[in-house]
Amino acid sequence: MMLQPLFTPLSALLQIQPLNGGETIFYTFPVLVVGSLLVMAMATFLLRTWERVTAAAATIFTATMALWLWRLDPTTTTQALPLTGRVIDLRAPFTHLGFRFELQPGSVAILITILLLATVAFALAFFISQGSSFVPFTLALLAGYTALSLLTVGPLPPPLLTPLALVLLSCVSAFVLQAGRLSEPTGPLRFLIPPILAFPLFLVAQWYIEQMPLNPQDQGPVESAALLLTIGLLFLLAPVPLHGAMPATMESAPPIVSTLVTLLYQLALLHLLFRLVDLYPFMTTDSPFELWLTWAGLITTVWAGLAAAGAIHPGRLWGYAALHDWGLILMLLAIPSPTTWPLALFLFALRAASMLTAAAGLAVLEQHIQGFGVANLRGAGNRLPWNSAAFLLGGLGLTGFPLSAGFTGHWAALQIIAAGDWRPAALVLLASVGAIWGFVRLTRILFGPLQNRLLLREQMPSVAVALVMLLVSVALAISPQLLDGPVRSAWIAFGG
Amino acid sequence: MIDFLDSLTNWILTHLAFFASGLGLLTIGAIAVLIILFWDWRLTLIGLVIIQVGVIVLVTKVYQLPLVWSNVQFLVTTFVAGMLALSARQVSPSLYLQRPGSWLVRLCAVILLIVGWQFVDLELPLPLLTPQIEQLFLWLTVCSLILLGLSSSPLHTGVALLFWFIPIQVLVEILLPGYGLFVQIGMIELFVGLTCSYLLLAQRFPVRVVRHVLTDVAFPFDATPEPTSPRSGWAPRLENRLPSRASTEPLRRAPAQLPSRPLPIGDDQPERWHSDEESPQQLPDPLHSPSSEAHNRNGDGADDTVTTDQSR
Repeated sequence: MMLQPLFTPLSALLQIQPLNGGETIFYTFPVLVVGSLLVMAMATFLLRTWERVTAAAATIFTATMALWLWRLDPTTTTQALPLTGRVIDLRAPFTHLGFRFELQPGSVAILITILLLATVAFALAFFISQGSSFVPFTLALLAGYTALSLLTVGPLPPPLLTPLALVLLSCVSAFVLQAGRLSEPTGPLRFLIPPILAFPLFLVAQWYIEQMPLNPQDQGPVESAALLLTIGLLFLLAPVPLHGAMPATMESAPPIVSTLVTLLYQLALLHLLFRLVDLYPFMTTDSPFELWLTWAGLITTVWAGLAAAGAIHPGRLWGYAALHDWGLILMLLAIPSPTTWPLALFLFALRAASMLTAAAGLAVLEQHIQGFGVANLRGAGNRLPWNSAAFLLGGLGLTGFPLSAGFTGHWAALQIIAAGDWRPAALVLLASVGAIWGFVRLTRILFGPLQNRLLLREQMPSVAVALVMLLVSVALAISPQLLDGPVRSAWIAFGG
Repeated sequence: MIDFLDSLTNWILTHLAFFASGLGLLTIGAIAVLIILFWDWRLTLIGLVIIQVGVIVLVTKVYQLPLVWSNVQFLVTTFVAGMLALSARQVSPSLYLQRPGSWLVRLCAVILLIVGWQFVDLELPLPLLTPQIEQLFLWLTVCSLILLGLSSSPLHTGVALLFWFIPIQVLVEILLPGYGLFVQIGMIELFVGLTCSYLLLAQRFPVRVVRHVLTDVAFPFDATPEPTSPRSGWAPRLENRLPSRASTEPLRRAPAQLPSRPLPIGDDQPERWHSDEESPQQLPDPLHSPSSEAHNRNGDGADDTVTTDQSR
């Protein structure tokens, strides 16, 4: 009874509605998912010194949630939560401070993707420490991305508010990326810059969009809004010369952390791009959106290939390879064709597999070698062959090397690009040779004469992890059709 | 609290009305330039607050923006400047080493900026803004980009981002009033400030000092520790560089994979790490230090653990 006054505003906030004499309680889906992620984040923060325990708990939690969403029947509106005797209303919105969050049929696939990526990252973190802050902050980050994908109504249209939310999520990401290391914070710092530079452009664009109905004959507001949205998107997509965050982050941050943070951010960007193009079609017709995106993607791909050819630091090399791959995705998105979006999602899925494979290998290398100087790296592959192979194969997958996971995606993308104009495709191919050259040189260093004879051999658990990741990569290289189902679901989620 | 803020803002609006004049505009622009020129963290943070106050006074007078908007801007900027100052105080010696070149280089950058401003007619068609205020905001934006371009330090990056936020907050409140967006952007500003403060602390580099191991090969040796980076003056930028970033990882935890007693073969000397705030003169003599003996359980002169000194 004493808690009644406390409970009343809380229930009003969470929209918990007592039914059947107070026995059955309805939870709304957004409150349950986002709330449970936040509660889990707080719990793991308290236990953060037990890294393995928190990583295992987070793996189980996110995997269970992903499985539950996977098996969720989209036609049902209510579902009983096991063991609690409570019912969750899947369609009920959660409204607070002018923001409305609700489950849409398209959100499910995105949520599953986010949760599965996090599950793999947490599972890898169970074997290879990624810093004690990784699990709690990543769970908070997941809560943010989940809320973002469930946002349907806001003070402004949700796609225009997304860049503002990305600033907040980038701030949280910076803490995860730094991972408590006393080291150069350039990567996390640069991670903040693109969304901060971009979000005002979306807000000013909203003003122009509000002006459009006042004078439908005037093309000025339409062109201004389209231009602002295009420039804002280009800032967010961070092509060259705004690319600084990716190589710097991958050089300094723990590999699995940087992989997960980068993939989550880029998935949110792809979703935002699709929603913007869908909601504001004038963006592509009244601005040089496609031309600029093509050039941005091409410059990014070529620059990343050249830089990768000269990079010796494995993290930086990997970062440039990832940038090269990202540039190719941007080029693909600029092509107005019904096949480009599914192919872009397919490339993104291959990118995720390659990056996670490389991250698993690099994390073990980093743990053993303690410093990526050439002297430390020389011959390390002789003592850590499986993890070196995982890193190299994952990295080569990002360059589209034959028989790696990324090959099929790159090849298909190059064919589509070459169908319009062969010259960009040839440039991309040459740039990928540069990135491959970087990995070949690193292979020679890794498998050359051993420098540090005190270097310990890799242990069985890390060998097992590397083998699993290698198997995944090889399986996707041999049978890319394995991704057909997931890519189709994601495409439906995007609204295709 | 709100009453206090209201009265404080009213006092500012009344007594610092000078900012809402042509001279005030020039003062705000000049402070932004002085921040680049002096590159001192105290002046930078004070200048940031002054610029924010100046812009509050200016736009409140010109556009009649609500008092609550001014309160939020003042509060947020002061909080963020305070957070950055608290972090900067702890790492102030290293901040001097992160200056982008000498004052002459920065002076050249400022002269180039002013000359470029005169010759290139920069215009940004921002709706509903008077040309004078538009020019001021453009100037602040350019200064923000210069700060971003010159600095890789979290302090100056944070300040540059706050410079970016100042015109944005005004623009959003003028263009999209009634949505309460300034509160949300203000909260995000606080997060950005917090993140930069954290990264500023994380940038506190440890300095590498080689611990000599007493063996037949190494004896006799010069017990003088490796020279550390100077704390003030115009040290070359390169000297602030440390061993590769990943190599700082063992600072957080003793690597489980390392053998418990590293063997001194060739150049593979066990190392001891200490914070950059530790004076080289205070380093214990590796030959006679009691702590060294305490660590040396095996009696062979080799330190049994790779020690980290991050407590300070």
